[in-house]
Amino acid sequence: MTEADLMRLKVLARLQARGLPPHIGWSDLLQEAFARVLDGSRRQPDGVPVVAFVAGVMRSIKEYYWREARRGTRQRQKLLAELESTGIEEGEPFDPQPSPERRAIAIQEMEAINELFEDDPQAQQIISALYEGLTVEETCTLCGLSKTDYDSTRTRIRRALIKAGLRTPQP
Amino acid sequence: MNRTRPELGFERLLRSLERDLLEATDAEILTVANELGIKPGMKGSIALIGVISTARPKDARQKSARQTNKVGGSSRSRGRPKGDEPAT
Repeated sequence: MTEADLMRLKVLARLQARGLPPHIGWSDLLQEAFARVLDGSRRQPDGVPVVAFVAGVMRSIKEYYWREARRGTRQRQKLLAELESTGIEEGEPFDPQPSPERRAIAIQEMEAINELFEDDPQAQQIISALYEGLTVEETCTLCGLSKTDYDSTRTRIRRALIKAGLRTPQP
Repeated sequence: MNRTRPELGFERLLRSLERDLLEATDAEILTVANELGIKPGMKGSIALIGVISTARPKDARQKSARQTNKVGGSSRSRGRPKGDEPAT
């Protein structure tokens, strides 16, 4: 992996950590994913770039952390063992079980993400549309954006997230 | 536009943003790092603290401390090496 890949993973881990149970940090998530990859319990499918693979492992681990938090037990080893039999989810995200704590964190972190774009109404519109699961076409129609505007706004969003993810502490 | 359950909407958003980050070029990431004055090639650079080192980043530690205080303490046991780099 290149230095850029490692920074990309840091940004991805920090992004994913926004949706983590409160007692788990982004580096916990990333180090756990590295551990699962390095010990061979998660195998990289052919054709999947390593960074995308590790990102998928982090996503899976996050769901198990939440499951563990819901159970409120000390079953970590069992849960991590279960992880070995799961694949990387693609497409529509796993629909989280209703959880007051997870809901509260989601609302709080949505506010934090929107604050990153407080001076960029187009970015906020697109973030809302992504939250709602709208397509690019639906978003452009609803928000009155051209495809060019949409693409350039997504680029601004991406750069802002990279910046936020590389800063210490993260905004 | 507010019928979506927050936890599902938020996961959708994270998934979309994750894809964006996976598509970012190395040059784009290095450019942003450079704008922040971060030099990933330097030994001990803050850019990779928490990624290739086992030191727990300051912001993660702060988040845990804050949240732990909120919920009245967590008994989760994980080894957490000390020695974080100072924040920029």
